[in-house]
Amino acid sequence: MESSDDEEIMPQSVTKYYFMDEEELPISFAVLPVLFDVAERPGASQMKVFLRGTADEGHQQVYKQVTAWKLGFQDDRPNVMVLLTENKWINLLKPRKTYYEDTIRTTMITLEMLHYLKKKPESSAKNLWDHLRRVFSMFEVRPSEDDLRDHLSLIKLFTEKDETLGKCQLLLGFLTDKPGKKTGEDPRNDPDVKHSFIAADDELDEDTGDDNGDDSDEESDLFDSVCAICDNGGELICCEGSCMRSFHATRDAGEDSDCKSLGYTRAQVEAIQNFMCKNCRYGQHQCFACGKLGSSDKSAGAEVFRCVSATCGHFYHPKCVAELLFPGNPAEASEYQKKIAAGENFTCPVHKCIICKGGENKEDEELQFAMCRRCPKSYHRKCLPRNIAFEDIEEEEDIIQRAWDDLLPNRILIYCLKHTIDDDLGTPIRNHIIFPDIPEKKKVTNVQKNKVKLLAEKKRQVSDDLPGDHTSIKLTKVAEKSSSGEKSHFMIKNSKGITERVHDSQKKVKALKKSLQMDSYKADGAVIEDSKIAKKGKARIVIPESCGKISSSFPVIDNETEKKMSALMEDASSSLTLEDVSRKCMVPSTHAYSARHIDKSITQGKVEVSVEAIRAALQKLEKGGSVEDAKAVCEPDILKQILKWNNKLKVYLAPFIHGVRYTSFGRHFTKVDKLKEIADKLQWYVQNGDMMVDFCCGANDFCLLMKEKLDAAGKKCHFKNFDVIKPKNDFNFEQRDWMKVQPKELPTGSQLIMGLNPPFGVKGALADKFIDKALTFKPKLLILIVPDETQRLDKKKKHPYDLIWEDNQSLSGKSFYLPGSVDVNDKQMEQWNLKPPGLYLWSRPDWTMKHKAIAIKYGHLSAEQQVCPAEEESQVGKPVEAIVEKEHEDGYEKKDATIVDMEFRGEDNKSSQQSNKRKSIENQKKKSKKRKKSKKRAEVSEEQKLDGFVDMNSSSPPKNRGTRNPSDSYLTSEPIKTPVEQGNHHRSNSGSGVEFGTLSGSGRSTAFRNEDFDELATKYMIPSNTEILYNSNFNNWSNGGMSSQEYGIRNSEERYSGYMRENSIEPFGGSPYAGDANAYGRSLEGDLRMEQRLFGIQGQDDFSEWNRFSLGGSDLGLAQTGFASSSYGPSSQNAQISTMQRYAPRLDETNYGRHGNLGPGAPLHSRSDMYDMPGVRREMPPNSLSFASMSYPPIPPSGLYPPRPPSSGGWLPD
Amino acid sequence: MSTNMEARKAYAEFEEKVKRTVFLDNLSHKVTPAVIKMALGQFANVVNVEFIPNYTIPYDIPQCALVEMENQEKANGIITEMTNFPFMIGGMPRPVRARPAKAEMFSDRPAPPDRKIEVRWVDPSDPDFEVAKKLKEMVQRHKAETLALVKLQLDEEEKLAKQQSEMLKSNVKKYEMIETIMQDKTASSLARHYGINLADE
Repeated sequence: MESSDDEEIMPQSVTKYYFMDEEELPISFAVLPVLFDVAERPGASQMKVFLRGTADEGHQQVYKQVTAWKLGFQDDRPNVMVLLTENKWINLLKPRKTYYEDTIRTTMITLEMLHYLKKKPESSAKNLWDHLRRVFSMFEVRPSEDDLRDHLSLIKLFTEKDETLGKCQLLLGFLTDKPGKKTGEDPRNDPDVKHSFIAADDELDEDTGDDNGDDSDEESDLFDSVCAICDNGGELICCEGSCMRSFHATRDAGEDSDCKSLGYTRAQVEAIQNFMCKNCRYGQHQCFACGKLGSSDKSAGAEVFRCVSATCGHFYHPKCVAELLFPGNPAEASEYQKKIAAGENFTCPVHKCIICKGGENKEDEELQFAMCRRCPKSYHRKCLPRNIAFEDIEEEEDIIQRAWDDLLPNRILIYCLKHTIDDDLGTPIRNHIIFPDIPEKKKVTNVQKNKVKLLAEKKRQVSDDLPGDHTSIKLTKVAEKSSSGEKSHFMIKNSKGITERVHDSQKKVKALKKSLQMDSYKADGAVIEDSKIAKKGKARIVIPESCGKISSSFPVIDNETEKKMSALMEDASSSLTLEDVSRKCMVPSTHAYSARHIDKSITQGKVEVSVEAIRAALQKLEKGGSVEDAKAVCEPDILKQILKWNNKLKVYLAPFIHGVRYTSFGRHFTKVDKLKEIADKLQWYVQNGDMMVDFCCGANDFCLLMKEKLDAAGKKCHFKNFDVIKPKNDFNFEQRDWMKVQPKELPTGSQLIMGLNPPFGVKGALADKFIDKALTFKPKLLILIVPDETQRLDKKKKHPYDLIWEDNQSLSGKSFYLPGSVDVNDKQMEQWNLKPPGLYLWSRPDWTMKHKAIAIKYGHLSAEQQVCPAEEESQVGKPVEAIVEKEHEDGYEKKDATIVDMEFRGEDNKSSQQSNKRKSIENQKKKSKKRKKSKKRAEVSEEQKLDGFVDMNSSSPPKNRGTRNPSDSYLTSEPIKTPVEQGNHHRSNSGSGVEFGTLSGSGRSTAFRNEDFDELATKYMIPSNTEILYNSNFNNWSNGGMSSQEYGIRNSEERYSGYMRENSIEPFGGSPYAGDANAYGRSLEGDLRMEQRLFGIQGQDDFSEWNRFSLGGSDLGLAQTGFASSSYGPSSQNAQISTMQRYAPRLDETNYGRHGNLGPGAPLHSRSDMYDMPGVRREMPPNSLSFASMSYPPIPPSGLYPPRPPSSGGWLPD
Repeated sequence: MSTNMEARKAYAEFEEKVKRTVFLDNLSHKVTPAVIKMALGQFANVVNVEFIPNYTIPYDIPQCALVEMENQEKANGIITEMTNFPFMIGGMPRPVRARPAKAEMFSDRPAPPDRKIEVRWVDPSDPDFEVAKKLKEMVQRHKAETLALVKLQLDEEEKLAKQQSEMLKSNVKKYEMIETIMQDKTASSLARHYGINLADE
């Protein structure tokens, strides 16, 4: 896999990198030999490791084999380089996130530690771990000693090879330490630190962090993520206001850069809900140009105005900014000044390069901006003067580092030449921020307060002094500094001495540092103590008041008791942490996903500013400004960002936005009647011995319903129900998190049927997770209620499933309920979805054929699927394809046929010879068809039993695929044969049918085949309601079988007809066929009956409807028969043509449905008509042939199709 | 004799009832028996719900209730369920606590058979006087302490509620701000100008 393009410029560094082995599995680079000398070359490694990633700002893909790696200590962060086979070193910048988290996290922690210790071999364990935690603070798992333990050999290697590290006591101690003893845990390991790491280590495996993580990564990318005071990163607190600045809130957080920070304590920070800096709170901001404070409150005569650019957040005096924007043009400047003062939007000079006046383009590295942190000045990277350097340049004394690349997202942080860099700080003096001095605390007259303040002040001073020694080494931005004797300006008197001593001897410094630290702690402690006292004092004063307030309702409590109690409470609450509690609470996978934290980085200021910027940008564009100008105001990413925020907030606020539907566990269950419908539908797909698995069973109703159904059908199945919460009925229930069920715990996939209603989650994410988990079991069937957004199973990369059917209607309306919730009337709260989730049945590909067949038989396929059956079928094996297609057709034909028939029935008394009328009927038909369908869907399968009747028509009881095949296959197998020959074929065809039957693996078909008709007939005759289903199936089956024989053996037909008649006698009142009860009529009769049943499918009412029909049917039937044999013929001939024309195009499109309709008309005339005419008309001979043949097959099954009677009549006598 | 037997039997029955009863604490005032029935009904059949009247503190404190379930097993199941998952009833911003009920929680509990209580006055000269006095004091102290504790808890809850509502308010504000530009198509038209498709995001 060696890359051959050597002439290509080798990238210096690579980002988003990851390593793979030969199997393309991620692997840590640490498996490679580590080199300590640049000149050294690795020996031959038996492992092939490849580096992948992007270089050159994503323009170049890297895919190289690597042979070794080394750790660079030159920079302030560990620098890992890998050696390519081409003998070149390449820098690793940023790993791909997932790779990082999964593969090299511990390695990186180890390297970070080594690097840190190399720089500071004397560091204490506490400092080391503090450092590591800070560096890896963006990860939820915090570094621990265990992370290092995996790399002991590596650490050992480094201690051997590296002198400094070899002397590091801490490291050596660690190496000799027995596992279990925690060197890393510092004694002062305050619980506060723990708090910030919400996810405990043990929940990480199920944590879905990656999605969230990506989001939040991008999030912080648009806005500055460095402290406004010291311009360094770390643990920051974002101001909610429109300045959009971040600060180091605690001295601790800003320790690295010697940031004086906001000076809060950790406890204070935690208490802050929405932080707002004083500037924003009091509406007083500094002008970024002149640095003076001014009111920014527009309602009260603002002096400074904010730049409208979305990510800027700088304020200016109109005068200052106007002068900057129009240098040397006072007239225009004063004009503009007025405009700004009047409130017009402006973008400050920061958003144009000061050299070339061009705009920023973050995508293009050359056009990225270098922005001065202290004054409104920006350069393109390409325009950046040489004196603003990324590194100290030793030769030229006056060049010190002024630019940093990685601190701002896609921008360069600089201090322009106007500002003198302080040698100790590595930044200009930090006096640039002025908070409005509003004496907020003066109202507190407590003397102690002042004391506290004083102490705090003192503390801050101390802290200023103290870190002198750290910072010169630690400040991340500042590379190893040659310590100069110069003192920082703001260091106060005695610090001078300290720093001097620092340079004198390190040991002394340490001692000193310690004492200083002690001091600072003391101060700290003092502060805390004092504030406590202050609080208490305050409390004491307050209590009587508050008591006085409440006492009207709340009894007075004496202070003594109260104090005692509060002490007790404090005691108790301090003994347990939030972490302990949340650890105790299980977080089921269904809940882990909830909007756990709404990001703190979505500050109000950012939102406000972004929104305003978007408006301003659009305004600009509408006024004819250029897109580039608009982008200076609002970069495109802001738009995306705001959309993301919107979604996040939407999710977070959903319970409030959409009314208070808050329930206990936020679950929703499918209503039992809906479950019944589903069970009705699903039962046909279940085989003996299967296991139904409900992976999120909720109330655990579904499997129970299924069991009822299946028991009734004599199928013995197993059931298993999982949920994290115990349901009321514990039928085969196991309280488990579905995500933790192991594949070996369940039978093999071909016995598994899984469902049903997973929790949806945001954008179906949870549902996806549940389904993915389910797919690991490879179930043969998956029945799912999931929202649209869920990834479809046929789109799954690994094991795509085939869709058998989907149903987007049946779960609309109030199909769900919220368990455990009641409305005002104490009724179970219902729930409906604005967009109903769909019901899907997915099949494992090797079972698709079978399931499809069942679906067709029971008419489960929905309208959408009719439209593109061909597509779906294409996945099925070819020989099967024809059948399946046929099956489809059958199904539809039947339906259509029925409808037509109905139509006729409606019309029967009128003279149907008028072709016009026929046309109108056609129209009606179309309409009615639609209506019917929707109706059918609406009522769905509550009366699935009736579906069974349909099945009769489709002539395939669940198991008897084969049986249906014979009838179907007549034509499929020999579509080209002319109808004249048909009579002869039947036998052979039926033979082929058998073949098919065996092919499809159902032996039953043959068995049935040979059964005595009489027996079947008798079975059929049993009018028991409960058995209707099965009877009808049998009957149905027998029809199929019969018909095939019938054709061959004439007299069996007589039997058949008799039998049919018997059947029909019941519904039709025994006088169905008028006089001409010949084969045609007879079969027609049968058809009619069937059709009526077909209608019956549509609902129980239809059943009655059917009855109605059949009652009235005596006449109807009579009329019809007569009509069919006499008037029908001619009329249909005319009609046929029109119909043909009418439908021809559509037919070709897809829909076979109409065939039944065509078919019937045609045969009346003559068979040849049927075959030729349509074909000609459609001018698609092959198609028409196949269509014809398809529509044809129904014919043999005799009475099943209304039109057929005539046609079969036509043939059979032949 | 027969009455004694009956009493024993009744008491045994009562003890059984106690075992299958769950004590719910910290309930909102909006919670009614029907609410509880429905809420716990998803785990097991609720036989009876009974609120414990608040005799002790003349103030609006969270309610507690005794919920009798089908059997002890179900009752225990509910307790584990509610301990493992924070369970809200009536949409209050705090989870409801569940514990096994104790006999003392029932106001209508039958007197245990074979127990007799005698009441008498105690003179200051009585050796038991000091004991009785101490008992009395202790009860009073307990009462005060309970009051203080409840008050603290109420305060804390109020603080929490305030915090939550503040958080919510600020988030709603943000949401509404974003929604305005979403609704008036500002965002989408700007996106069009930039040639990016927001629907993709």
